[in-house]
Amino acid sequence: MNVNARLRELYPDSEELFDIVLVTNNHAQVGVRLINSINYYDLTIERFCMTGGESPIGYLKAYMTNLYLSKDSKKVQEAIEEGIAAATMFTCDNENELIDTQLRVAFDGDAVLFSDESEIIVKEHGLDTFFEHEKEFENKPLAQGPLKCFLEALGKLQRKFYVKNQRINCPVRTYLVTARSAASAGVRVLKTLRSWGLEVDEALFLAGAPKGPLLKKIRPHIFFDDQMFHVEGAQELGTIAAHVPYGIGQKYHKGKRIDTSDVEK
Amino acid sequence: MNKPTVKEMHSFWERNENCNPSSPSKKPKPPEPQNAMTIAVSSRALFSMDVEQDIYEQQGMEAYLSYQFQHETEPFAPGPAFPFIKAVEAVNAKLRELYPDSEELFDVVLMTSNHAHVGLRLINSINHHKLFIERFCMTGGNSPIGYLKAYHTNLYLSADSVKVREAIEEGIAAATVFSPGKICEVPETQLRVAFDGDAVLFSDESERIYKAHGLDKFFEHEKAHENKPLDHGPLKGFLETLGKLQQKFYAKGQRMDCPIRTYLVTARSAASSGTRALKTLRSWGLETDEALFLAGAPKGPMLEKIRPHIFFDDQMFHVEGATELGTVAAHVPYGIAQRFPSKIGKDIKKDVPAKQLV
Repeated sequence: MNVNARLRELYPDSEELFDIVLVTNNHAQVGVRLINSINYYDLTIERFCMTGGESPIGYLKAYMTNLYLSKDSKKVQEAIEEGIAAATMFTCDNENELIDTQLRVAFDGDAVLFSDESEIIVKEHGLDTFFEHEKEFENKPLAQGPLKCFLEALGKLQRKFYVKNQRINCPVRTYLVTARSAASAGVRVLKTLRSWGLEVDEALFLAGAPKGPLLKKIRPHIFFDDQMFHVEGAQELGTIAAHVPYGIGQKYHKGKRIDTSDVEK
Repeated sequence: MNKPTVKEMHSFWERNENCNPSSPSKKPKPPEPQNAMTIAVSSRALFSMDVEQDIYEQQGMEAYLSYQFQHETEPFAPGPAFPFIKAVEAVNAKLRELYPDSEELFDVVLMTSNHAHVGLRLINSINHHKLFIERFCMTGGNSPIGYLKAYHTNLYLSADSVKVREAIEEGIAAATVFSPGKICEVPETQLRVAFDGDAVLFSDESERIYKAHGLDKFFEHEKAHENKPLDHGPLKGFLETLGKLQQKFYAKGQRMDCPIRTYLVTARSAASSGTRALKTLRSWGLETDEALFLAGAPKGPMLEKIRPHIFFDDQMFHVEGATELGTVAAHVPYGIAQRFPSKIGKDIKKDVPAKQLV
């Protein structure tokens, strides 16, 4: 919302702003309490969909939703299957203090911004093959992942600030926090982003180091990852993390295969 | 970009179809940050980026980024910290031979405030020089200090003295690296690290006495307190780290040709003030392989003989003296000496005579 305020200052007539819609399958009865809460916290949420028990997916499409956040992983899964960027939110016990003048969004790479094609190679053929493959195909952009378009939307708004000379204290900042190794597998990632005309403000290649401590330093308002292992690691250190239920990462937990429903016996 | 053909992709999978996901990787796995000795190095310390730096300062960000992009496939030339990092990797290789399952290794992280655009050229350069740096933090203009802590950094080397100062204030061992005036060859099989004593390994408490009350008082004080260990300085922790790794080689009978060697190179006078320094190291359970007490003699020629990969000193006077004779020297911006300018400074004082303890 603060980003919106800054945008309105710079572009009073533009409609290129964030629009927040409350989408809930609560009944209209609860609406009053929701509205009271929204006003109490001074939020600007004027659009509501109270679906009274029905799935909200159709409404998401009707609103051309760029990002759907919910605590209900089933709905999030449905949304992803319909091609809408979505993630399951988790509460965290001791949240880090967040800055309110800059929106900070952190993304995992594979299976979030990019498709899970490379992650499949790691899981099925091992790290060496993965490195070789990424090197050989470094000029072939990865396919896009479920949250690529949201990064694109953020980038579009960022450019509006850059144009007005506000690059240094831009109120939107994006971070790539990937477990990839820079020298062995980083080139393809950077070239893919470039081929999409997108950029992130900060890029952290961790080569397998835990993401929690770095996220704690960044203090993003939200961090998207496809693997619960990383979501939990982030939460433990106070980062608000959201799970993106997409790709082969869903069949594994901490490196071990958990969903063997499609493995031939 | 040259996109691979379908045929090329098929041929890749023909070659790699039967790869087992659980077979050990050919490339060594980077250690967990809490187990490793993490060395964070900035891009300008690792590589020579003078041309690019000039473009950035004179023509601005866009020109800089565009230049980097155009020269993306040209690897950078080595910078001042390059030989040090290469030697660190050689030590890692030996440690892995002796202790294949241990994570007590050096871990080198590239910590740069460059934007991700420059990342490609940095990766290409790292691969060209066959360095093993898999962890990157590209902070796009922001300060890297928080990331240093998240990585449990044991040593931070940068060409930017402002960042180094911030790091020291946060309790992280850090130094500003300077390029040597001439190229001096350094050994490839042994990592050599040289340290000044006061305000580097030790606190600056004694230096304060010298600067406030003169040499005689300093000698009296050190004698009177020779059994009281000095407080520790910003790089004591790093010496400790090196000592720990040295012990691993000693345990395997490799003391004689240990691939790590440490040197104390101090302007202290041995008979008059050396006892306290040595007793302090002993009380910490630390040792240096060689100890040189110079009693004010210039450090440059000694260092030229030692040929360390890096030399840490808190006084620009000594850093410059070292670089003039080909040693890679790094300035530790800590303690009372920071209020006294270097010999090449704008508000220059009289050159301090060589005999005095500086």
